[in-house]
Amino acid sequence: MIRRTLTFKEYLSKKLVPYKIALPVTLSIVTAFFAAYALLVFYSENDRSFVKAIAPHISTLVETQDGPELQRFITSIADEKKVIINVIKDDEVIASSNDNTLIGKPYFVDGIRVLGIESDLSSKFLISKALTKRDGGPSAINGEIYLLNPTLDLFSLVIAVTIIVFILSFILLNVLATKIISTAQKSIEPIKDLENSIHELKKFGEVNLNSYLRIEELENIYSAILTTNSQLRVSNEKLAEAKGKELAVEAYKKLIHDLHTPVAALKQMIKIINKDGVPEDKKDFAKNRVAEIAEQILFQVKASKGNLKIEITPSDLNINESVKRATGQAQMAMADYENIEIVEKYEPAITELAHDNMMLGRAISNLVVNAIEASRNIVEVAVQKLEEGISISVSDDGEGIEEEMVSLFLQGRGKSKKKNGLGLGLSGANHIVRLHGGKIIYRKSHLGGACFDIRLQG
Amino acid sequence: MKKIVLGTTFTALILIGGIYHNQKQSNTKRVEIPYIKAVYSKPVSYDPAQMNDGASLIFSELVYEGLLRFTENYGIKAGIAESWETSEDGKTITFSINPKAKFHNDEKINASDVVVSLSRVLAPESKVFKYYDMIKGADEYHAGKTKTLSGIKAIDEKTVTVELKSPFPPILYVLAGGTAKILPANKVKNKDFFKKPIGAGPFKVVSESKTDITLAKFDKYHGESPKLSTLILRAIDQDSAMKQAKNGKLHDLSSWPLNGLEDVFKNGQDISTVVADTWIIGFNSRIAPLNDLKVRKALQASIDNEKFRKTFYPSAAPAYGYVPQGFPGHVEEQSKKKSKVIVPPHSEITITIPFGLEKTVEIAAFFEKDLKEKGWNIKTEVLDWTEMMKRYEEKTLHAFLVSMIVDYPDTEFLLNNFASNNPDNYSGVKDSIIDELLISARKLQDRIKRYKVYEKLANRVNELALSANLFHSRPHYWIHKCVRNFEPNLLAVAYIDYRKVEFDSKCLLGGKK
Repeated sequence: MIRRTLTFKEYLSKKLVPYKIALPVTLSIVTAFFAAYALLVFYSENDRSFVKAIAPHISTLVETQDGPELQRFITSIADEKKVIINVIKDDEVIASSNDNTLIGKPYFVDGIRVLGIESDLSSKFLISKALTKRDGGPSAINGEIYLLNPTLDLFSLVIAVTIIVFILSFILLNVLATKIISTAQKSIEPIKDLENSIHELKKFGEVNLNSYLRIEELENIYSAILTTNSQLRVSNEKLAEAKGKELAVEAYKKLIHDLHTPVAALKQMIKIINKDGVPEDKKDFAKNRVAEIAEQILFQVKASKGNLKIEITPSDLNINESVKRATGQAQMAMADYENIEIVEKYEPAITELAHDNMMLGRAISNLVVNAIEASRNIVEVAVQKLEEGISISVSDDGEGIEEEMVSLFLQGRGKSKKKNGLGLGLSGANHIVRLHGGKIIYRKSHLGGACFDIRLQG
Repeated sequence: MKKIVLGTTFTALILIGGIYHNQKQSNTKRVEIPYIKAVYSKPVSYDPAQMNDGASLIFSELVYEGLLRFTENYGIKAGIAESWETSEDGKTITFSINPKAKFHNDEKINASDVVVSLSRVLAPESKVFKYYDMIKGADEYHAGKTKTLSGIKAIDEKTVTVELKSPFPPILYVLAGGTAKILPANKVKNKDFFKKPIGAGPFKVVSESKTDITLAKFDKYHGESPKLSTLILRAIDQDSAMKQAKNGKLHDLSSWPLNGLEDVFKNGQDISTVVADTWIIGFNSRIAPLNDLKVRKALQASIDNEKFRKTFYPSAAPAYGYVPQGFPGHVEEQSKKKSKVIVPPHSEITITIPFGLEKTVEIAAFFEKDLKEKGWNIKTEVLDWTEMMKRYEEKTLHAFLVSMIVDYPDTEFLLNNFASNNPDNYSGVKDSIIDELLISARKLQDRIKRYKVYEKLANRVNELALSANLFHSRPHYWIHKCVRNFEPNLLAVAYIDYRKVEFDSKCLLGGKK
């Protein structure tokens, strides 16, 4: 059996069905019993007090042998009360309100006792009786008055009550269930908001707490997520900063290492120039060589300057220009991959956005270099204006990266097999973008490979 | 969800409605076959003023309508009268006639019809005068001294007043009874009126044959319309009736108080109840030797009523006195006083038994044998009912087996049989104590005090040994299995309400009960 996932509403409706039926049934059965018992008690008390009340008069009529009057009397009251009254003397019926054929015959009526009810109960009647006697009358009258109240009448009343209770409780419960479901439905709307908010968090790292959450538990969850998120951001920034410093140290070491050879060559050339006895042409060559080496050192120092930097100076404005330059540098650096086509898309209307040309350029170059390495035929660099900020995306048609790995690469913890060209890898790019207050989002590219999207806010 | 709620509600409502509707549906549709009620004889008279026997009263209740009617339980309800009220002094009762009430000839009933009809029962030739003698001017009118009855007056076309000599609430029972019927004033004087009488009752006379009186439902009857379209009263003896009933040719044997053990009950309904009656051997004190109290007491003591009851009517209640159960003056236990045993006289005593009882011959044999053994010179004769009633009225019967019913639900009407001036006094007794007690009872407004007088009266009647009391019947009415709504009447079988009786068509068609 296939179990379909139910919506919250369907789930509630399904779970409430047994209550909708079982509760009215139970309620009406309980009411039926209660009503039946209450009616029996009520009628029993009523009948017994009634039969006791008429006993003295009946006693008088029996004493005076006034059969006709006795007969008329009980017939009239029995008709009015819709009961049967039989008067018994010496175990024989002497008057009956509904059946003349009983008169003169032995009388026997059988009933059972019900707890709390003084009258007897037979299958057809509630039987109340009293002795035929009156104050000051003869004690010798051996007689009883039986009042038989038809139980069918009582129980049809009980059935009517039961049906009404069933219908009413059924209607009531259905209305109630509908109300409960719609309230429950409403109450989970904030959960959806929370879900949306969490999605937002993923995208931008920061989202306004929706004022309509209003449910304590959900607000607690939301603020926990928010706190955790901001702590993560702080940690991320610290990590990026540390990484930046580490990279700067590395770059510094590299520079020193790289300078070692030319400086040694410079020392050698200066030695040649200053040494006597060295032919003049050699000295001229050394002089030229000194200039060349100095130029080279200068270039190297200049080139390392960016690598050593750990803070940004957002003094540049034209994003399109910076992206063009960075892409060009990357393309030059990757001149070997001449069969890879690089497509650049710029929106002319891009507004200016404060950034550090050199730093952001390095991040972009890095991403473009990576993309060229990964792609088969084409790399696309696109600058788009978004509602809030700007997107600089670098897409390729390569194999793409597993999504789970991306965050590791962004944090600099992943291990890449590729050689480190100009750049500092993804983590460096991420660091630079974060310093700009933006973030890098990874997604599948429309070309089939990876797409790294730098989002900067205006 | 709304749909479910609505759906559930409607389903519940429909279910409740359906159940209710089903309950309301009756399976007793009208069936157009005649309902045949067997009677032990044809009515002796169709004239309410002459009625003194059960068959006549049965006819009267079906065809005629009085101002009032009896309920099944000794109560009274509206007949032709729509409403009635008694004046504060209790002497005048004013009746408003139901404007819808009509005679079978479609003429409306007016106050003059009531005046004429009620005057007839007080006329000199009336046999039921005694019941009505409380009405003002009754005696003078009955004696022929006045031409109009002062106590009954038409106030307007639809209003009648009945004025009494003194307050006497039981008069309402008399007016609900079988003799107080209203007949069309302009027709009743015709010589042949009672050959095909016109009444205002639920059934009208269609035809009459030697045995059958065929009645049809009166469509314009003002009260509860009868369910039966045709009702036949068939005169037949008990034995034949039971045979025919067994074969399904009769639907109703209620005019015989059966004991429930008869063969006929194997197929049919047994509806049993008590009625206010006492079966007696009446003693005519006008004829020797029963004019002697000692002889009467001795004969009363010699007749073994319990043996008789157990032999012939085992389901009936024993009788220890003249007044039936449920009425003041009823004796509940056998008196322990033993009357002195005297030597029975030599002169012959004839006991008359009506023909038509299931065991007439055996009953006659029982008395002859039992009493002869005790030294009595007893002869029994079996007489046809009409003949017997004729002789009863002539007061020429010696001793006779009859059932004395309480005509109205008040002991007065049973015991005033023994008033010296009552023409219906079968016993011929003239006892000043009885007369005085009857007069004093009538004067008493307090019911309980009056009942105490009745007890004394009943004791006096028992002391005078005017009857051997055999039993109080507890009749078992045999009714066809497909008849519904047959409700016994506690006062008398004549008052059974045949308007309600109907056939169960399913039962008739399917043969199932």
